[in-house]
Amino acid sequence: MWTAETVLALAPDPASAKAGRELATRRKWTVLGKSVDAESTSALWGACQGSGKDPYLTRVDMSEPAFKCSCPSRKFPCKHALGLFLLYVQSSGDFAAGQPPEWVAEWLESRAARATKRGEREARAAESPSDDNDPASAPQREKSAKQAAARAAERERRVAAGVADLGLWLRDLVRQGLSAAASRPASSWETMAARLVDAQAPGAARLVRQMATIPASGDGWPDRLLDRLARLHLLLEGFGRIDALPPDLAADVRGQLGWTIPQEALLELDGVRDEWAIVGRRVTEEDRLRVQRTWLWGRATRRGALLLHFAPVGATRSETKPVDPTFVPGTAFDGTLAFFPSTVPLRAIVKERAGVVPWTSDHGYASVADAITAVADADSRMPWIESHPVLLRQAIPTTTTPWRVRDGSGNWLPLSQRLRDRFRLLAVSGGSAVPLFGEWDGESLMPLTVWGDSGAVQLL
Amino acid sequence: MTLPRTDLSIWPAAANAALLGTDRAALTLPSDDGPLGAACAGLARDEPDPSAALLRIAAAASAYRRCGWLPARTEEPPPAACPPDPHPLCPTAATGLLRRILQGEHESLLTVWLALAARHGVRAPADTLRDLLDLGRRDPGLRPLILAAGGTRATWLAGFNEDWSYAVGGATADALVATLETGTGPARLAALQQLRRLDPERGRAEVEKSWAQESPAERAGFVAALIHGLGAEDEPFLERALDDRRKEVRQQAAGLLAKLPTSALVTRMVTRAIALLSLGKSGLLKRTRIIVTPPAAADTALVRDGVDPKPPAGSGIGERAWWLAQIVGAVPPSTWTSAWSLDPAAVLQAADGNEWHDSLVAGWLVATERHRDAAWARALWENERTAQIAPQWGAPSPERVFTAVVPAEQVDAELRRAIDGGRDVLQQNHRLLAAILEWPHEWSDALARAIAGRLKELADHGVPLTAEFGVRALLERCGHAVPISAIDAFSAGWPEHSDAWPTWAPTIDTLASVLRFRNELHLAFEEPQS
Repeated sequence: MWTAETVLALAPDPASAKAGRELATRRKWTVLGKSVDAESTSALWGACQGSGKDPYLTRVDMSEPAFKCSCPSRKFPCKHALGLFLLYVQSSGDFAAGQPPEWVAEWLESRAARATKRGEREARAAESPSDDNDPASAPQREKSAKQAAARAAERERRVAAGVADLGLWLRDLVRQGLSAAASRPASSWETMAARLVDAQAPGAARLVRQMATIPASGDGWPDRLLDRLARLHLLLEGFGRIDALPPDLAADVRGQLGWTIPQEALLELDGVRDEWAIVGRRVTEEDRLRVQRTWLWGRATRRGALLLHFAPVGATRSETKPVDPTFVPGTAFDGTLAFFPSTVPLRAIVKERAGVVPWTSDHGYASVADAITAVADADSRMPWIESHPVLLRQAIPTTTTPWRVRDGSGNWLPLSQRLRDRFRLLAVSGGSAVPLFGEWDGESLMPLTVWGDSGAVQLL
Repeated sequence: MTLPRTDLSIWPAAANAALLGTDRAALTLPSDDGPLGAACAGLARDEPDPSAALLRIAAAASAYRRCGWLPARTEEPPPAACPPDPHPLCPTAATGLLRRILQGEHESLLTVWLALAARHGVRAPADTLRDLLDLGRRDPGLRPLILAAGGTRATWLAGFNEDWSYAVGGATADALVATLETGTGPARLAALQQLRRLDPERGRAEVEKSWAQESPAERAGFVAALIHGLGAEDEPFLERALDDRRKEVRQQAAGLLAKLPTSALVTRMVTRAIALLSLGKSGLLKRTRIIVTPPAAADTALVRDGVDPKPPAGSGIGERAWWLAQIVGAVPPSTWTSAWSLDPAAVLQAADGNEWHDSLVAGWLVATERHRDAAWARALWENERTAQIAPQWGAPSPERVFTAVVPAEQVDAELRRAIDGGRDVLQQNHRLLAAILEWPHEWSDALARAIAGRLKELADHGVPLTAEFGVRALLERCGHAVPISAIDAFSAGWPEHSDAWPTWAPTIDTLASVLRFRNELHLAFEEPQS
């Protein structure tokens, strides 16, 4: 299932892709091997003579895929791993089949051991949530639990102080008027955001930063700005009465303010098993991080799910390159997701990916009206959703101003101004109804994927 | 269901108050009470701070607005969709390769992809059409292939973007005529060139129709475009163009007429030329020699027939030699062989040592290319003295004439024979190298292997590639000219132990990667249709 195209898509930046292509030649490698399992080849290894004295030892586990290389590069996967992988998809015959040498076997074993450990931990967690029958470590555990509780209490205090400041600031803004706010320098928003970061409420900081650009966003900005201010204020009021809120709504409030939930805690929650299609992927730059938003759609559960992956902004600034390239739009996997607690659970992490499954594109909403009904239902329960997953089974893009997608009944949604690939979208549709996935922000639809006769096409 | 009017007016009232600021304008809620109005009144009562009350009310109204939002609706039917394409989609592997090419990998192989698609009668996937149409906009030469591979979808898509107007209507003669009538500058010229390939008669008719209104620059371009599909039927029009006000137009027309062996211009030139050259014997050995009486003057009639009276500035070429070369250049070279009953090699020999030698050879080179005379092309290539013709004459090189005029399989055999000629042939036989680089055809398997052998020898003998510009150009040409069957000869067996190898390795790696990609392209199109 790996092709040169999909392998190159793993490259962290164009320079790595180029370097990888150059290394995908038999002559560069002194050793080339592949494992022969009962079913298929899963591991590759090779030795590549670089500038140093010793050759670099490169390993690829194709099942995930995973990479390891002894070179000092900080790119991941490095050019050697890409080159090795490319060479394999181009001419697998150059690889000698056999038992992995020690340096490969060790790596494969350590990966297997880690996977088993993770499995055991999950199993143990499922059996006895509070594992207290180890007397030796009990006092120590008690001590560290105390420290953790103290840290948590300190954070609560700081967030509460930050939230109080933000409340005053918001009310002050409304008192002086939005037109006055529009003429404030950008630094005034940034100062408030920085204060919230100090107060350990990074989520609130993000919401303030986003608002800074609204006054310059053209017609209708006062409505957009007031909408954001009011929802942020609602969040603060919710935090003030958090103990009175239902648990899921309280989790939403804490999540919006910036509390995270440790991965282990999430993995202990019940998962949702389904066949999950990867319906959209988008990478944006936010606050010196590259954020990958991967949207999934469950075949049986008929719901969207959002995976977030983060990476620091690299020197090469290839902002649209995937952070986690293993989620390829247009593919699907059988697996279990753990959703972050919420009134409208959207954000999730993958608990288990059991295997790749085929996906037909006849899923999603039958009409624009159905999609908007689902959006309204979610909005009515959870006021802080920024973008809703909208998978339309039959969308017709048209070039009427503004460009839009419509359904057979004539209901239409305007397309986002940020869509650069609108002619690509139009080309793939050919003016007919096509499956389309996009993010709906209440004003416009940002299409991320469209399905045509040559499969899923990502849009930018 | 009708919504309470109050509820609908709460948001605008809140937005207005917020814009001005609650210090200046207090929020007054509309007094009717719908459900939202009632809720907002409650919120306002509980909150003494007017700014906080406004934010609360706005939050409620925001939720109300968002949850009640309905999409706009049009009663119009969707616009007509693109008609289905009769050609199947290209195989999946070919799709992947095309996407890679469009992302900048081996861009020069795009024409190979498009040509393979045309040969297999398959179309490009829809998601690549925007990029292909953009490329066609910049490079008119690619348009026919792009329109063929893009099929009905590309034509349909082009209708939505003015940048792609060249593709609207596809490549039908009607569409091309429409572009000629309504388009601008380069688009019209490209349309005419294509139209001449499809229907030369109609192309010329269109040119004649608008001739009087065209600017001089456009007239020159249009006449030049008639080279495509040039035929005897074009003569009357071209003959009239000889009287055009613009020199470029006259020269283009004369150049085309000189290619038509039956044209009146050629007949006039033959009459002139025959009077200038004759055959005689001279010297002690009574060798056959050409006796030249160069033209005495460039009269109006001669200039009208396209002879440029002034030699190129600084070329050192005399006026009479310049006129002579142009007259000889307009005459089919077979004129001489049949008039004198000599083969071309003997004619060339008879010109040897003549004071007008270069003038004659320059003329013959031009004439041989114009009239595509294979016997002459071969003789010019084989005669060693033809290589000395200075570039100032503006004549094509003997290598170019040879490779362009002689049938491909003969050129291939000839090049192979020359390659076999000796070990250092690539470094020493510049003429051979020039011919290989000039020849636009794919090589035979045998020729490719012979070239690979010589290249490997060079590397093996420690010749650094750094200074060998000719050999580097040859290696670049290999990427396109080596046939698929001979790729193995270029991807393995290089003398990697050689001292000079480090200077070769990067270029050879690049070549191997181009060849591998081309091989992938061929395999991709062989894949059975899914």
